[in-house]
Amino acid sequence: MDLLGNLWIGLETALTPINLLYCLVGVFFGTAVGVLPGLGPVATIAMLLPITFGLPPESALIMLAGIYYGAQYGGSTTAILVNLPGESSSVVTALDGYQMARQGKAGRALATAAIGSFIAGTIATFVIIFFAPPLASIALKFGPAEYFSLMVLGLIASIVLARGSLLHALAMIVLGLFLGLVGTDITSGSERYTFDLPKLADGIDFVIVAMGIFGIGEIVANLENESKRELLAKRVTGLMPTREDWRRIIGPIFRGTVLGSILGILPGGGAMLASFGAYSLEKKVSPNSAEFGKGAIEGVAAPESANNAGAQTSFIPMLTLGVPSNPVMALMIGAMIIQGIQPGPSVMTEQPKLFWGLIVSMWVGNLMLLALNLPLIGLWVRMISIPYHLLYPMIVAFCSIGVFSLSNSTFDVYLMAIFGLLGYVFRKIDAEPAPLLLAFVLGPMMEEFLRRTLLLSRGDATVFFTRPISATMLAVAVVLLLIVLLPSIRQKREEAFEEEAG
Amino acid sequence: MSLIRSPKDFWSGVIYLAAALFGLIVGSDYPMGRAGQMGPGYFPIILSSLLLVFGIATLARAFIVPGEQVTKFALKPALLIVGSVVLFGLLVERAGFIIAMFASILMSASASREFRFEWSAALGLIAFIAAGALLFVKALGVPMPLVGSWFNAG
Amino acid sequence: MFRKIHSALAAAALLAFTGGAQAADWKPEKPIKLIIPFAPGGATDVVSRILAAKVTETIGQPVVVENRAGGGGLIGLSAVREARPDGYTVLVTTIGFGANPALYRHKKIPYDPLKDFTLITRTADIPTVLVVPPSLGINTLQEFIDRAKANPGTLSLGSAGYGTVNHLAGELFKAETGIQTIHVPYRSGGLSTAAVVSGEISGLFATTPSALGHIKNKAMVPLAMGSSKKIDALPDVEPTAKLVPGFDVPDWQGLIGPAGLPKNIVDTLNAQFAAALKDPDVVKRLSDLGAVPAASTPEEFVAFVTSEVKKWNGVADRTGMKAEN
Repeated sequence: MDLLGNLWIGLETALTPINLLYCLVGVFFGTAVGVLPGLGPVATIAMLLPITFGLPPESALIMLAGIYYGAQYGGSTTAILVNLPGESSSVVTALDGYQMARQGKAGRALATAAIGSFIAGTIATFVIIFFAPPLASIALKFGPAEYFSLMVLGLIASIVLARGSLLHALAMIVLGLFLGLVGTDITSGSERYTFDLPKLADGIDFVIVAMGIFGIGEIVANLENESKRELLAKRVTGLMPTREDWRRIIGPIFRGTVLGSILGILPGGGAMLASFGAYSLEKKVSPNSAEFGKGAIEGVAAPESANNAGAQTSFIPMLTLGVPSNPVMALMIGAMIIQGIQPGPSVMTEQPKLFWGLIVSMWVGNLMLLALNLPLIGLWVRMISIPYHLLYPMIVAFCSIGVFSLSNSTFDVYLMAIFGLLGYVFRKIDAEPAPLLLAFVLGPMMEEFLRRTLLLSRGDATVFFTRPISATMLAVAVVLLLIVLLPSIRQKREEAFEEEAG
Repeated sequence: MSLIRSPKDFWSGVIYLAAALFGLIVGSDYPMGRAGQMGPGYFPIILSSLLLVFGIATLARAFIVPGEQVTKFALKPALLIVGSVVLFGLLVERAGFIIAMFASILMSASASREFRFEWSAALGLIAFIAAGALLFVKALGVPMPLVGSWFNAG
Repeated sequence: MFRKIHSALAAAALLAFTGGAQAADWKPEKPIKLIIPFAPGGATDVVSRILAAKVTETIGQPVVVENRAGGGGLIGLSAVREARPDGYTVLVTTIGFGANPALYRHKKIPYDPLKDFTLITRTADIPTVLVVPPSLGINTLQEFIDRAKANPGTLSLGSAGYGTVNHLAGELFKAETGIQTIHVPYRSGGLSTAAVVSGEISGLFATTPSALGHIKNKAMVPLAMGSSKKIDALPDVEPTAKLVPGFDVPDWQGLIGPAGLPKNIVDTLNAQFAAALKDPDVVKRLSDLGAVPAASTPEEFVAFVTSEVKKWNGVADRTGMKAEN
């Protein structure tokens, strides 16, 4: 079997002291930009790209990859501690992670995220080693019709997240899609809903919406019933998962890993869809589904495993086909071209040191992240045990700085203020903002795929139903919708009967 | 008893309708194209129409199905917190990072009923601003002046 | 070692050569922002980053690359147009720069390439090649034209958006051959390349660096060069111009600034970039990328852009080509 030989080449490459160092530098920077609001992996990698000119190609890509998956780790930390999802894929982690933190279980939530990510990262590494080429060919079977249907499915699945009525969940999704329209239309280059403000021409940054609706909105809501809040015992119960926790998270971690590994391969919102999908799945299959949204540890384990697995498998199309699945991968391809390497299937055969070294380094990097993050948990937990009335002004200031640094513009800060107010209003009317955020990110892509499908089929919408993968996904979406719909209809009828009786 | 049986639904419906009408009115300027060659107006009109339907349905339900009251809107914290964000935006380039941080943190902190002068909190505030200045302005190079344009006129 | 001496000699020679202009030299005092109006990782981005790194070494201040993608490059262009003409904000533009007036003339022309900007230098050309998926079963340019003529409106040509080299080359191709194809825009060059590999679209005038790997792996079939010359990496691929006389659409790149950029700044930047484009290390990196250095004087660049504007207006007259809005 050639695989062992390849693995050996990978180990030899990844474990040289210099590559270990670059890997460490990468994951360290990644964690840091993940934790800091505003700075994301794309900006960081773009900034560091010129530095990689002088490095050997393996070292350059090992470091850049480390930044990417390191940022996924870091992003979940602020989501859990203070309800600030800095990366789109950590939005759902905030749902239960933050509730756990409020119950004094921040340590256990952070440890669960770290351990889940590590297990997922390990498995995903082996998935890449064994299945990269066949999986890549699946990605190529996805045309625009399939992507559109996948996104419809993802949005419908996100309804499961919402607690309120189906009508509100659907309306919030459409509202999110609508917000995503703001900016320049990719297909035609014309500006929409920008009021001729140049600052809106690039659209609204995800971080602004997330920090406003989640971070600021949450703080206002907390201050509303401050006295009640202070009554909550802030007893910190252990930094590591208990035996009971382990029993509860092991299933979600594996299911999340599988889902994440598959969705990560697909271009576009793969990692984000993975974390939303994993959460929705657990909420449906878990015996503790009533606890979801109130601090269920499964609700942290599943999406964190899914997004880390997805982050890793998103390298598959890039490495095996030379096709970028997200902006970070586009940058990695740029880095390869700078090094004089033609991205494409030949990378695996002509650059075995690079290919296998990078893959093995991902596992090494995950181990480093675990070692780096577990000791930090104690520090984080101590930080949020500051009395809330001293903590929240710092969080607000942190949000303002982070949003300003996105594009050095005060306009973004004002925009976040508006979304903060909106976030509080959403809380008042019990509207769940997570599906809105998913729709906000997927919206522009959904429109693009819809338009391209119909352009290629010359206006014939039946392609969505005649292409098997697309049809299957739409069918699953309809079934899901029915599953969500039926209990609420039954419940309504019961209510109606009760009223008549009463 | 009020006609509105579910205030939460009512206000949600109002928000959906407002967004839908805004989308339709502004979006009607964008060329629609046709299904095979969609213009920039096609998708927005679909979305706005969907939202219009959801808005009407939600409003209708508000008058039929009884639901929860909306709890009191906490005006003071909302204004102070959101205001502190705006204040930061207004001051950061003009008065500079240090003053903007002081002013906006004090403003948001005053939203809490626990707000009072404490030596330890004041020292913490100074330390936090110093750390922020070092991390964001010096180390990361975010272009926020420590002392803003108001003080550099001369 | 030899290479080092060699480049030192070259630098010395250059210094002597540009010495006369030194009196009016512009000395930047803060970092120069080089805006790339496209997403990071593409050919323009990579070439510009290489040049930026080289110029950083010689100009005494960092040249910082900033990606402002969107709207077929219009977002970046309007940012530069509104910037102060002090040399600290410049942009690398591409073929769309001269074509946008034609693309947008049915509504509001977004800018005047010659009046709203100061042209500094052409930097590099990237050759293009028409590729099709193997599943299409077409192996020559003539077959492609015949198939398109037999079944009007069934073949599709992809692009990375309106006003990109892929779109424009396709429009010129349509205008010159009289065929009808569907234009399918994508979010980036990488995605349009992937669409050829998967067979989603029937063809693409791709930039050669993005296609070479796939051609080598037989995931794409090259039909003809989109630019006027054969290239070493594809010795058997003839230029489109063999069948369609005068056809030459490379993805050219050039450095521009806001209108009214003082002459000493233009000259300094021109000299700096020209020197970088002659640096052996840069030349090698560019040729690894499949890009060809194409430095020019500011005056030559103005003449070139003038001819481009005329060319694309002519295409729009014949095909009704426009940005879809």
